[in-house]
Amino acid sequence: MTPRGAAQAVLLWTGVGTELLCCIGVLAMRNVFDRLHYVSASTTVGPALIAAAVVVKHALDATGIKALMVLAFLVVTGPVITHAVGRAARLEDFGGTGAREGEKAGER
Amino acid sequence: MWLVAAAVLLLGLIACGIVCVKERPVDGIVALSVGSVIVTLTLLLLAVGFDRSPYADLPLTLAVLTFAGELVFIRFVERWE
Repeated sequence: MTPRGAAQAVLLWTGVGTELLCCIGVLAMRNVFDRLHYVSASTTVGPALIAAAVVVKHALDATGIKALMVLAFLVVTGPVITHAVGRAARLEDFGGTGAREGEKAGER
Repeated sequence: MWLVAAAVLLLGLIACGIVCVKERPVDGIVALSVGSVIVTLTLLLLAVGFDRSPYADLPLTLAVLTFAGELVFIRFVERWE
């Protein structure tokens, strides 16, 4: 295997493993706020590694640029979704997004 | 290798599906987010595996549409829960 092929394989399988770990994390966590951590990781780390593998294979041709565009879109929209879901969960669980009287950070 | 990676990546949808079925709707949206990323990346890997550049338009389109769909679901959850 050439060094380039090895780099592709390492990046690709690390990205796939990261995504699968995020899926297991979403399943294993008990509440929505803990699950949101894995959404953030799944929209940044995994796509970055897989896009890097695609760019190593294709350089900056059409496929490589499209992979980078997918990465850019996922990285930008992932935190938006995470924030929106967190806000919706907060509204559902506590009726509002502001701090409650006597509430301390880290408490539910 | 790329096609095998795409197939392996699809296994993650099992966990996302379990969360969507068993948990609350807001937890389901979280699983939907991860699932949409999984499918987007799977389509990208298939495009690379089949060595067809036009196939890579699909994951880009899917990423845009699932983002909009997730925002709509979140709005529903905020209003009706």
